[in-house]
Amino acid sequence: MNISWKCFLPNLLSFLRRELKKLETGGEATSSVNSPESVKSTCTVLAAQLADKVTTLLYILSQPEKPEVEVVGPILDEIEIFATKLIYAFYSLPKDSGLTLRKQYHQDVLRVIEDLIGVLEALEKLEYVDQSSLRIVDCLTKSCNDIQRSPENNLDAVCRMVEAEESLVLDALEEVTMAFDEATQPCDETEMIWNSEEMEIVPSGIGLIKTARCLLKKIRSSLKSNGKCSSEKEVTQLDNIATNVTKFSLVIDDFVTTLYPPVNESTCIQTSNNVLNLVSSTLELVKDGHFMKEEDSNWHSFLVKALEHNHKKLLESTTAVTGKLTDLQLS
Amino acid sequence: MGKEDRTTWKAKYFSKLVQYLEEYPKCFIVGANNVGSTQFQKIRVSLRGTAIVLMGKNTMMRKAIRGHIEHNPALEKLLPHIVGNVGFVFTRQDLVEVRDKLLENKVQAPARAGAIAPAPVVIPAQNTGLGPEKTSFFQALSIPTKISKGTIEIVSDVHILKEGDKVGPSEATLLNMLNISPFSYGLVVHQVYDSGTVFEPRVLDIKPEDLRVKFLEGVARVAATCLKIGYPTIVSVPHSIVNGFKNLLAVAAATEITFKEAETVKEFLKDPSKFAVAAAPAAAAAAAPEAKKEEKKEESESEDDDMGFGLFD
Repeated sequence: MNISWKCFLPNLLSFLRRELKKLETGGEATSSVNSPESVKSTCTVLAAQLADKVTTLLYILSQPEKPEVEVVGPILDEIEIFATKLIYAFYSLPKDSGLTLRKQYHQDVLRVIEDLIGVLEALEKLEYVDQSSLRIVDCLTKSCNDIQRSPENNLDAVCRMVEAEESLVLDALEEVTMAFDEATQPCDETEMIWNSEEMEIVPSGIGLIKTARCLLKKIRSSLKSNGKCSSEKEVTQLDNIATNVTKFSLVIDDFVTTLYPPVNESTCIQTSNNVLNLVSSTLELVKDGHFMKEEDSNWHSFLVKALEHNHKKLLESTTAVTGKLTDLQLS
Repeated sequence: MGKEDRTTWKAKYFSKLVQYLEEYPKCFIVGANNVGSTQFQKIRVSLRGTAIVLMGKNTMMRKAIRGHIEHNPALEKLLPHIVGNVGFVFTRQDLVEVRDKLLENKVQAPARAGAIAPAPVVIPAQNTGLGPEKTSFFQALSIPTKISKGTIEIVSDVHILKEGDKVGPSEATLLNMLNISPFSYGLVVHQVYDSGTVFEPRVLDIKPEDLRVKFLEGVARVAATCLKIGYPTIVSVPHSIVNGFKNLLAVAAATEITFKEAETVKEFLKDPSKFAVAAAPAAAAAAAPEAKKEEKKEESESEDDDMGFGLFD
């Protein structure tokens, strides 16, 4: 009887889908626990082996001769083994090594498994290897390569996260600054038309965003110079900061969109309050951080004042617009 | 635009982006640096029926996407790429065809002061037709000229800008005076989104040959690992045999033990002057006519290829 190699795929796919589901919900507890360094090297090797096996599979399938079950079957077995080992290598990363680090590994491993399922699903449907399946394999290879670049430890993971948020906040800052500059220059083609009262609000809004961006920049530089993650306390501090930092771009984007005309004053006040709360709680968090040295207290107190000043100015300018600001909002 | 209009516009922008993200399974994130409004119009017209261009403020695009992540978590992968002067091109059609259409819509543009040169710029030797009063422009940029029939002539080709250089005011003025529009600008594909996956545009051009190269890289990696850990496999055995043979030759060279394949080596070591004799015809052959030289080269290449000597030492 002539059996097609595809008969192996449904079982493998349903196994991987089950594992993916478990992985999505955080995975399962494992008795074996490894250090972040060991998990990284294991994951790197396994991801490379997985990518090699999938490439070999595609290479065999792209040949003109019909692939033999005896050749393809063992390769699919190995793919299953490497994928499983990769997932369990992630499970062996202890929670006390840091939640941010775990989250990064979780995303990376999840992406590899998703992409692997994508490749196998494509092969299940296809009669021959075409351009689209090659693209999917390339995506899988990239996901596997990304694991090699996974953070070394929780400090590395938090630094990268701060950097990523900072770049989005900087983008928002540049965008609104450019829009405001264009609006204040005599030009017929300006996209944003603020009225004279709204124009009073924007500069203090920009000041508020600058403060947020500056805080991220300072946190990043202090972490890089003095950050550690050898004790549980240090790891927890880093995770707490990461929890706050991860909201920066979201809160700033919301605020910027309310600064664009027509400015709805109450929404603008509300979003600016969100910025104020987030930045001040982050300032409070970093104040006692293990990475803060004596000289860092200068920028810290400067940013506390800058935040207060810009937010107060913004509230005053919105009061000028609405005349409805209550004492409660000011406090 | 009145206050109410603008409010409606804001709300409509969010719903339009979300609608496109739902309706179209594929999109490009495109960079739009130096693309003017007229060119945008032309691009939109040429893509009509094929794709839809949607530009906007990055903050608004990110906000709209974040608001829709609940329905389509894969969209989160787009967020880090919405930075700088970018927009979306949504399509249901073949990504390569749409990308090619975008590439077709590049337009020549003059060099503006402050712009970054996307390509090197060379002013060819020519008679510029400009009067001698303009000599100072050329002098400012150290361009060698002479006056010919009352006009300025550039005597040799001048590399005025390298790729990545910032265009200075003098360069911009001179290029404009010479009616040279050295740059071409258009929408540049930064990232591709296809049914939940985000990838780089180079992936669109991946060919089966690339797969073969990757496969061979994998084979080489496996062979290297097997040699290192001493675990023979079909891919490492040829290299193990070659390494073993090298060891045998080394033993033969250092002792009285001999075998057929080692004789030549031993002979050479005994009388190195034979090298000179062997080298002379080789040198003569190297000086032989072109065709013969190529033949020799091919031979030596095939020798290098044979068993991978020294590859995994």
